[in-house]
Amino acid sequence: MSADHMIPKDFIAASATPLILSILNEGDSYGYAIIRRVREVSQGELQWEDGMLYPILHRLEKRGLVQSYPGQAENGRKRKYYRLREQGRQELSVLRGLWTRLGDMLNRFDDPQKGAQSV
Amino acid sequence: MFDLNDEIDRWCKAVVLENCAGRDKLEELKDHLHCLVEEHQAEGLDERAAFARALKQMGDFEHVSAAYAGNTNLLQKMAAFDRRLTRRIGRRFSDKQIAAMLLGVSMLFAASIIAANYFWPQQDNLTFYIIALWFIPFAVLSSVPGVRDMEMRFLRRMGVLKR
Repeated sequence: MSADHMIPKDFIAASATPLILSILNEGDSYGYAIIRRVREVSQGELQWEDGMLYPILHRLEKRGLVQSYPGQAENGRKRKYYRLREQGRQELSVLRGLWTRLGDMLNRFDDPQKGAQSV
Repeated sequence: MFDLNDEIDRWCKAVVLENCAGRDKLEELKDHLHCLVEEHQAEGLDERAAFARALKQMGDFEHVSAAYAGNTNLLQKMAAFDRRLTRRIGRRFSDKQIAAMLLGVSMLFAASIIAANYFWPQQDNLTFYIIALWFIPFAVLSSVPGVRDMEMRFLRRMGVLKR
């Protein structure tokens, strides 16, 4: 994707849950580290509002997909960690399947750029 | 005098506690802001500039606050509304005036309990008492200028009134 086309907000919103679950699937994590991983994986293309992460995490916890537990940072500051639950792992598989199916559906159509070049 | 811990505490409380979202959510938000500030300080910014950039990264305050509010239950929403209302009233009225209003509200509530027991002696009035406890002050305070607008906005957001 070219840098001129920033990922629209609705795409960012839709991809938030599968991304968070995928990151937690790699291992337990906390908010700031999750945001850094998103930035790393997207190579800066996904620009989240950091504060919006936590309401999503809280909703995922309410749904039983993730579980939080108290911990401590290296400097002794209180830190809340999140781990992926089995239900979350299953949800992640479902979501990955859905995104793959969507991608496959789009791939069945001709590339609009190819059509433009041939004309 | 800029105090980083105070500023972080104030911002996070404004997001979490103003929405009565629960104290447990306060510490993780504070930790996140501290991490962002440390990241920017490591890049060479001073404390104040690092905090300003960190706040920008956290996102628009209204968006974040609304997102937290969206996760609260009905009771928390009502508590958050009462909190904002009380602060607004506190700015307009003296302690004596607020005490007089509360006394009036209590008398109205007592009168409604007596009336309920008189007119519907066989009915379970617990639900009525709970509704009366919240709506009677609501009705009384709507006579305060500016408060009525807040109440109408709240009722529209809850879907009780049409937009």
